[in-house]
Amino acid sequence: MANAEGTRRLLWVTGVLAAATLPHLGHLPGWVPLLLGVCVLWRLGVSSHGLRVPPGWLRILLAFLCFLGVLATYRTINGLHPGSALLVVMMALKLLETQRSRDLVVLLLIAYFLIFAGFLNNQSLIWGGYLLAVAWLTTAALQQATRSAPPLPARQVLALSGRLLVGAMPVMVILFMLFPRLPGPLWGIGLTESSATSGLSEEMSPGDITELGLSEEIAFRARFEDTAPHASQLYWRALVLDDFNGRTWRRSRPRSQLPLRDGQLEAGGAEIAYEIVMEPHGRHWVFALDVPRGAVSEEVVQGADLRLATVRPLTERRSLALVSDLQARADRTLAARDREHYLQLPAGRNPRTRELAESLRADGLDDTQLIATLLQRFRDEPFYYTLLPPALGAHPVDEFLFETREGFCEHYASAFAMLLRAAGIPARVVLGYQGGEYNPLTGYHLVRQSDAHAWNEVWLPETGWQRVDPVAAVAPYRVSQGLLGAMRAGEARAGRGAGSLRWRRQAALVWDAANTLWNTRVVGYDDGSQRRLLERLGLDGDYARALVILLALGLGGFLVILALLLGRGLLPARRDPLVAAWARLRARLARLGLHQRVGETPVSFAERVGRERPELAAEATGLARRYQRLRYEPGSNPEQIRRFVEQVRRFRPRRWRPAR
Amino acid sequence: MLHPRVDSPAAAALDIPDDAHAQTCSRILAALDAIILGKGHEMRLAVACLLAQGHLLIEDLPGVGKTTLAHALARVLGLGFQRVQFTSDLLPADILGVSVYRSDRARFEFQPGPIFAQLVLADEINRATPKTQSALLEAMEEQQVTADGVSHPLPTPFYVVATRNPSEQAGTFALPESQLDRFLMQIHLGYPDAAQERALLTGVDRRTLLASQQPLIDAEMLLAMQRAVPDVHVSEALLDYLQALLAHSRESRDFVAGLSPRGGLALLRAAQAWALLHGHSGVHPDDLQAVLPAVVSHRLVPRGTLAGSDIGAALLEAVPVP
Repeated sequence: MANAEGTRRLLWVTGVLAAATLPHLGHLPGWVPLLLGVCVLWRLGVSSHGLRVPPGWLRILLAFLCFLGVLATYRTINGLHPGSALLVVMMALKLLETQRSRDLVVLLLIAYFLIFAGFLNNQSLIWGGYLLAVAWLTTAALQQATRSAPPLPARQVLALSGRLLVGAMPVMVILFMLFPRLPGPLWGIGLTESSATSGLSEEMSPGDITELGLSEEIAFRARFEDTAPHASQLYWRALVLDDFNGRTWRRSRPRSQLPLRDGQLEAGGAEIAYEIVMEPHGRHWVFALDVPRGAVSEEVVQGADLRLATVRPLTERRSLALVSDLQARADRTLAARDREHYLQLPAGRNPRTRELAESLRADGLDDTQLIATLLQRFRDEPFYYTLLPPALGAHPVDEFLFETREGFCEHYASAFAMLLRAAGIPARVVLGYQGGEYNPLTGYHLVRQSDAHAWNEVWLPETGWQRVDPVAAVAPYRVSQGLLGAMRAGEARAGRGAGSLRWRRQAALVWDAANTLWNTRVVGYDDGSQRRLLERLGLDGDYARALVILLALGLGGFLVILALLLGRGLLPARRDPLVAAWARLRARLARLGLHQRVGETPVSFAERVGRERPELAAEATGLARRYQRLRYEPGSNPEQIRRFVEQVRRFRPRRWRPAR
Repeated sequence: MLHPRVDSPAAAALDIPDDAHAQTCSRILAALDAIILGKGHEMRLAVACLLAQGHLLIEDLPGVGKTTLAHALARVLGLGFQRVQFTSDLLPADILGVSVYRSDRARFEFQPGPIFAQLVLADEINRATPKTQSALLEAMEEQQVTADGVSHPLPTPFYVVATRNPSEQAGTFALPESQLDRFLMQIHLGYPDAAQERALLTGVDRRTLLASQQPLIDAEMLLAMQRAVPDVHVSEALLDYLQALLAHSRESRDFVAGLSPRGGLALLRAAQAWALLHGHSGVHPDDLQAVLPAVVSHRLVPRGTLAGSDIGAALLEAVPVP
């Protein structure tokens, strides 16, 4: 190939390689992109500055070393990340020995693989769009590389490959909808482990945290079938902590693993059905509105502490249909052993707290009054809700209650539970999320990691476990308007405006709607969705068979249509605007019962029209003559044709003869 | 004299010619219209046939104005005119000419026959024997006469207007189809309608009119117009139409045999001449339709009861205009 042309082709291909490697940069070891950069520069140098290609033995040695390098980095060559690293490395080295267009094609095929691997790596909407664009670019580069003629200008080749991709769209849609899917995770290559994140942890020791990070990441989405409860009712239960060592709350084993007993839960009559879509978090937690009712399936079980849990860790986005009862009562009677468990406190820790509780008890208050008094205390004394609490020492609850008086939900929940236990009231801490932002575009409530919350449950005779949220006493905004409300109240005091947050919220809601659609309709399209599609089409029974038949029909139909279109030469042919205009005029006259006969020329037709409808004579014959002149005489220009088309558009004969 | 003004606003309309040839044509047609009453279409076909360098066959009864038509054409176009009356005892040499011995120069010399004229009216050619007929047709085809090994070119332009009686009349020799093909067109004149007949009966004698008619053009101008005919624009759409017509004539069950390629070419030339005559810068389907019955009526053999111009009409009504 000529040198300049070769360089242009090479530039296309190397551009594509870089674009396809970009999504992998995050997890590739640093030397891999470096190697790619060096190889690209070297190869370009060969093409334009007459550099020498490295000799064969060196290339083989390099390939071997790079292979070892990948192996050393990942300890394996199995899996997504080592695989994509290997692909990039091989691509870089292959670049050094590209001579003919066939080599470029091999490189571009590797690029397609990398694009695919990039999608396995991250299925978000943004990356999906980016990878689609790279696929377009790759197709364009493939055309440049395989043309025997000189490369096309960029716009032209992009338009051409764009048309190709659009043409392939029906096949893509058919395969996406109908290609039989295996049950279980579609991209099941153990890839979500690292991307699973959570705002919750399985234990809570508020004294150790001095700064709570606010993550805007989505924890889950929920959609209520009927009207949603008020925001202050949205307590999403995830975990129950019942074991306290004076500093840290933990789940006691094996108590936390016990399943729900029959009769433990009594219906309260306020059932709510809803669907939640959880982001992968790698744990067993299910976020359910307090109080969830019963196990929903074999996959999800309910524990004795009322929380729901999945049997297998949640490693991919999952949607569940749940039912909760906002007024359900649990454990109206508490066995002596359980009662003791929920009163247990470590000896010798937080003595002042213990004293306070005991002194209140000594005043002769009953359980309800005592709880009210404690909450009143939080309200009256100068307690502040803050995400930047000071560190606490050996007796964290004492220090919090009597000295610092600053903290977030975990501090309050921890102190409150300790106070109650010291006063002889069974109490525990519940972790989960509180609130959620309603997105009117999707109908989903959006619960973010920053909505993570901790509250208490106390056991009272006759009523059983009852939710008490001490934060509601300190920072009522936190509960009724979410963390942002509490922050806003706090920051307004600090003189900072929250107005600029509004449009950002709005944009975030739109973006979330697009993401929801993408996640549920595209990424979340699985064997279940396929089944539902078939059921909607009235096909049940043997799904696999129905899918294969539909797939064959769809693809076959598409090919037949394509063949017909190509066979008729219709694809590029645009209808002559002149002929189309005349056809329109004929159609208008035909509506009046005036049909052009076989063998009748436009002019003779128009003359006949004029005889039958004299008021149309002048216009009809004028148009017909103009049409014939444009069609049969030389030298007609587009401007005249455009004018004719315009005149035909204005020609609107009336159905009835005007009264004379 | 009727001279349509070309610079009038109506000049934009289709039928008003807008170039030099068309202007000449309209003058010629106007002059001919004044002489031959009520035969405007046939007379235009005759002129188009001449412009297309073809020859004309008129099949009709005696006395309907065949001779007047030929004569008028010759007068108006300024052509030399000869008339040959065909009879059953007419010999080829009577038309083509003979070599006679000139004793003063002591050699044979060619005496040109009546065919050596720019416009030859061959009257009642089917009264002559096939041998004489074919002598005429060969001369028409070759544009020359060969006698004693010497070729004598015929004058230019050269235009034969032949007439024949309807073949069912007694004492006629039918013309073979292969020879009919030599004529570009065949037309019928027919009887004039009542009004025209009245004008004919009461008006000035045609011969007097003819005698007073001055030529409007000369042979040079006619040749230039003839040369302009093949240059008339033919659009793709029109070729589509023409080919559809040819294909239908070959595929349809209405005809024993379809139009030959020569017939197709004849159709195109005739349509071009018609377009030129009417000032169209390209051939319109109307031009093709106007000449088609005259061009195909003696070429197509209908299977059923079709005859004359109905043959062309049947073909036109079966093929849509693209």
